[in-house]
Amino acid sequence: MAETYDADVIVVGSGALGSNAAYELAKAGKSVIILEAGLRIPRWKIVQNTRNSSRRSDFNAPYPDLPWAHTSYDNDYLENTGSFNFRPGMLKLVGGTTWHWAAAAWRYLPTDMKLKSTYGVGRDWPISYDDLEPFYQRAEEALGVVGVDAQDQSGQNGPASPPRSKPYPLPAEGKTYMFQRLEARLSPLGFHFVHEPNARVTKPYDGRPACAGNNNCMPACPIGAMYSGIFHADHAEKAGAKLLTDATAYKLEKGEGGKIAAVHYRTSKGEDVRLTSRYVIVAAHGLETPKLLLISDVANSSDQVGRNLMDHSGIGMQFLADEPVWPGRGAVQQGGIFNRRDGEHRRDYAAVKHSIANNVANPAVAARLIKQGVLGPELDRRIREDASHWVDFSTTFEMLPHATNRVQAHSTKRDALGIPTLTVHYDVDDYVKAARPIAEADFHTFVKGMNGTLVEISEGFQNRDHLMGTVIMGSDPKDSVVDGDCRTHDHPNLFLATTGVIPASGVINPTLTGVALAIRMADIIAKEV
Amino acid sequence: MQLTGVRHWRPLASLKRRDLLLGIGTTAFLAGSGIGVEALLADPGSGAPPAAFLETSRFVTGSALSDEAAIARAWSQLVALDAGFPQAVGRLNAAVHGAGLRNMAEYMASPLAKDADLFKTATTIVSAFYLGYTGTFVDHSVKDDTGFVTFAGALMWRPTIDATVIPTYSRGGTDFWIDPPEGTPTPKGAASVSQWQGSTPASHSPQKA
Repeated sequence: MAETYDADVIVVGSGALGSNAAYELAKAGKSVIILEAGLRIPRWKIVQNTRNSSRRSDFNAPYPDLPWAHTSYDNDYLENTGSFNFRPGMLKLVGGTTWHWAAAAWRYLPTDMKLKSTYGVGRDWPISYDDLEPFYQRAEEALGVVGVDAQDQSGQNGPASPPRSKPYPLPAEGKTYMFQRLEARLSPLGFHFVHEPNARVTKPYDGRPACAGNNNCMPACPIGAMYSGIFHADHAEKAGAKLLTDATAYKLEKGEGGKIAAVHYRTSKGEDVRLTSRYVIVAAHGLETPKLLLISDVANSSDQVGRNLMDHSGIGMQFLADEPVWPGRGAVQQGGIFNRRDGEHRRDYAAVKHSIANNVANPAVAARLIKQGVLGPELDRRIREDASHWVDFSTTFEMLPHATNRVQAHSTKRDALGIPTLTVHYDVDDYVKAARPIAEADFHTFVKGMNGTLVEISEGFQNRDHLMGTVIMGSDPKDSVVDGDCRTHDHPNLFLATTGVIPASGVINPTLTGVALAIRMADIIAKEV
Repeated sequence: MQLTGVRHWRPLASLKRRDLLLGIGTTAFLAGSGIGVEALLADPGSGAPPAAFLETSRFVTGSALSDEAAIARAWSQLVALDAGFPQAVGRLNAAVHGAGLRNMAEYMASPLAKDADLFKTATTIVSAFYLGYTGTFVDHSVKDDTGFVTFAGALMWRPTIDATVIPTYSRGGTDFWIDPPEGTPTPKGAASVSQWQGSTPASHSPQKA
């Protein structure tokens, strides 16, 4: 008698990556069950929560932090043991963490994917840019990415790069006045300004309205112009996938032939459920995915699960320009200065990306002025003056994989479901530290170029919430968790849809790459199921 | 640009009936002697802010604060953060009345601005109504002592409301941000380029089904 299954494919996690994979599989006629630890929250409620929060700089604040589905800012849930407080903004709800992001939708460069071969550091991807390019295109179409086709995104002011098989699905949004002014005055100094391809649509697309500049991409786009995994969670359901909320996967059950036989999940009501499927995709975030593998004792013959954790650890700088540039008009970011995204320097120090933040500056400016004791009518005058002249750079660095930077299941702590919490050990490496003075020298040049007044260069390093490496991709099963298809080396029917597979971080936001890989794996699974 | 100007010290006629029910006498204000701490502490469990807090808040912010719920939230949270806050408000209120100050410009130019305790009280109140929250934000945490006061009513938005949005709200429609706000002087030197390098005028934007 033929074996029966609850589904062809179980997808653990309803974020952008899991939902895109689920949608592609459901569209191909496969039966799909999506397990989501959190709940479904309507957009209007998230916006209301945003407006009613006393913690407006906390992008997790408008979202549920449940005893069985914690956000990452809960210190009881995520414990750090390293020198750096690694604490990315992780959410648990239908749609996942792309509810709050700046929607940067970059492609890697071919050299990013052959870092070791090109520059002698880090690791190579086991697949090439050409392997991924068609799936980048599909991911861009899925997300509604806007961009400038002919730009050299490597930041070297050369021909269009990386190569594209088709134009962007949508044209770029208008260049903000601030971007125009910075470019006009800093590009003559040799700085190359690059538009950031992003998933905020510029005209109605896939049921989403054009971006109207609500300037609230984080913590939530009020109108849905910005892409979030919620769109493909909904698409997947409409295509036939079954989405279960309050369903925290806590065990991948091993079966015969090295396959995963079942997924066990637990609800907040204490129910334990076992589901079977032909294939399993774990798409549960760059920290939670390795944790699930570790507590299930799967996919770890290499001892690399949870290791090689990378973020684009960053620094920031603010200054006051000598002319009003008016940040805060448009979306929260639009691009930046990319001279150091690629080049021979990567043999010695990290790639650097200088992003220009475009948040309404009033909160930062007003807090600073009040702290300085500026009160009375002068306070209003100075808020206008400083908010219009405010320039905020958010800089990121390329990190290399290190086995000692790792996420693990906590040895003793448990959440409300009795499932281990997270512990992270993360130290910023010398490759990044060597790039810092270079970036700071750039900062001073930016300030001088705008005849500005430096406000602050941040101390230490900052989280950038780009999780990579924790279930690292490679061609050798001895030192990697998944192969180039995101299939675990140890289990032929277990795939991982997470940016945690990325073996070389580059310096750009990895979400689009994750979605491209998720769509690619869905194609592979659809052929095999 | 039209800003809400600094408003003069509001007369007691503007006080709400609820304030009067707290037992706060009008004659004391009119006599310029401030409000007694006893009155400030009257019925502390009621949650209603006393008249002196409203009056002092209007004075230090230069704004006709009228959102009763926000004022009540600010008061209860500031008291919760500092049990001595009612007395501090009383001292500031009395000092302002005693010096016969009419607005914050006069306060900042007066010797009272050199009194660190009074200035701290003024700053605490200004912070609550300008930033829209009380307490101190702690990053990368789920716990701190902040409390919500107001969002769209936060006074920090006011000075640029003609030029920038209150986040979550919008103005002007897609691409309004290409042009500077009205009245922005034409910059000297390097000219702006509004087109993206490498962009093509032709649009290629299929409607996704």
